[in-house]
Amino acid sequence: MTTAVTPAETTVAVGAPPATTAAWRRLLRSPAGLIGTVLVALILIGAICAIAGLTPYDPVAQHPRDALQGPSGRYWLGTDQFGRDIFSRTLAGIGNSLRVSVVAVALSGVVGTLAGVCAGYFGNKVRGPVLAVTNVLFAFPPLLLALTLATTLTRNWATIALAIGIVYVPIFVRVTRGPVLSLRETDFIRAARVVGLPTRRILARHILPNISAIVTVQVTLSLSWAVLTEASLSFLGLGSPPPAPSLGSMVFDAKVFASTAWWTLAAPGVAIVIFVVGLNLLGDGLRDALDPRNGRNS
Amino acid sequence: MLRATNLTKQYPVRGGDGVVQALAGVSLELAEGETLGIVGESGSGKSTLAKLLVRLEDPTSGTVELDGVDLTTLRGGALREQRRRIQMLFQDPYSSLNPRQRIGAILGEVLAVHRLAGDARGRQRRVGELLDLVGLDPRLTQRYPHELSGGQRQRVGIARALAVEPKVLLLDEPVSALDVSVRAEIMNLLDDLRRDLRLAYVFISHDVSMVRHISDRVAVMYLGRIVEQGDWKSVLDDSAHPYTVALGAAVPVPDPSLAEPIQATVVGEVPDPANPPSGCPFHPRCPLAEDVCLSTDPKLLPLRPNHNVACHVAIRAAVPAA
Repeated sequence: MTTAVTPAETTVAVGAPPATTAAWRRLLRSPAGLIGTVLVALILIGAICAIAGLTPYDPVAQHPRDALQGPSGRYWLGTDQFGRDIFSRTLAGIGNSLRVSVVAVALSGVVGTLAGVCAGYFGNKVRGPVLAVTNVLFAFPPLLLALTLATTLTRNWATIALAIGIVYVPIFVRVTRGPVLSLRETDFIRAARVVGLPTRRILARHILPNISAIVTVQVTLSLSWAVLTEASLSFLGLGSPPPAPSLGSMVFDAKVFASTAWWTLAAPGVAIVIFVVGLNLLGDGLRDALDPRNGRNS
Repeated sequence: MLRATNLTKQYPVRGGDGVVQALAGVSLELAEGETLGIVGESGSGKSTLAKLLVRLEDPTSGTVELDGVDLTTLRGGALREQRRRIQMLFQDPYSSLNPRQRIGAILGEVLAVHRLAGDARGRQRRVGELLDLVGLDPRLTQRYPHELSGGQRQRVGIARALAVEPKVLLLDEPVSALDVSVRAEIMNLLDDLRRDLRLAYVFISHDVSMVRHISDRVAVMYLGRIVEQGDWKSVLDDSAHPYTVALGAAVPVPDPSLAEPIQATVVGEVPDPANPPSGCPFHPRCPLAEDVCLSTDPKLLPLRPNHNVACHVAIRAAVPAA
């Protein structure tokens, strides 16, 4: 499993009215946006159930007599080699994966966007160091950096989130810097300076709202990459320590039984696919829906 | 009141070690309530001059003083407080308003930052007054910029500039992005505001007829310097510099029965400011160029009272050779 690190297409959202309802309508009218929203909603419901403890069985409870049973009325998606309910484990894995990804992307989104805005708005004294650090981080293969951090720090879900978060900081820097660079030269930012608004206010009230669409799209796409990275790390045994269920470690456990008990592999595999495809479609849909050139007056 | 002294601005050439001389020593003065028109082609340095006057950019050398306070050395809060008094109206009303802010917020924010109208209710009242002042319906406060026409947006831009109670307003081609039908309305509004609020204007345009309409004095810019300056009538009707003469000739004649062909007195383009010509910067395009023009850069010298020109030929013609 590899993660594709391609920053989202950068478009400056100048001229976009903050018509949230119109954007929602546009999102749900496009096939990608609609399917993405539905898939992500499914995932969210599953994760919420897992976090609230609303799974049919305890995800770590073993039922040795029911080991490796196929899908049935009793075990909807079958059981694994220890007789644990795969449906419950998949839900718990989704919840776990979502928690790690959300924290990771929140971290990289906040740090990366702030750094990107500063690098775009201020002169070379800020730009130089920020871009230097960014380039160093960018030069690291994301999985390798996450591997290094996951092995050197104590291993729990927060460490994994931190590792993944650091890896994705540069993407947010790159994605926000360009638009800020061009926003800086627009007349309404110039006007804000001439009229004497403090820099902090210009950044918070005039720059940030105008890159929010870009950041939103990037958050969605980064979430999908974070899910994949988290699954990859767990697959390699560097994710959340067992017996905590994780989609990646479930796939790892299942590969021995895949030929005889396909359901052990199917459930976590399909969950990852729904997760990643859903987030990507949602990201694509959002990119179109939030693009100011689509229906400026709607 | 406003005085710029010997302003120069150089930009480094990207990927080289040369510089572009965007402004090559411009000095000007503006009295209270006066309107100075600045004319020139694109590339003449008009917009750079505007940016330096409002401190959007720092000059390479020279000073801008407002009532004796040098704006070029101020920083932070002191700068914000001082530059309230020089405001700017931008050319393009479609990019000069934040698309994510309602009209009321755009104006209210300015008042709040400068603590100009008391509490929220005071600000609201003041925003209404400002909109009224520029001829807009005060109910527009709840609208977003994209819901307004170009002319309405430009009026909001004027209201924003006036919100901080400036003494000088810089108008950078304020109507050239607007429909012809609303240009006159905006020009008339600016004219009224000048009278009512005793504002001084720096009116920048490439359109000689607009400048004629509103200016007390006119400065003609070419390649980063002022080549002719003085009372508007003297400069525009009795132009001495061949470049000003050419600009005047380029104004379309409103009467089509005057089938007089426009004379091409100026040929070619504005020279590359990174590689300006020797001597008088206008000599490659000048119909009157002489040997002295190729070697010596003419100074801005008095031609008549209140009329200066930087041209060897014009000065010699006016002052009989000794």
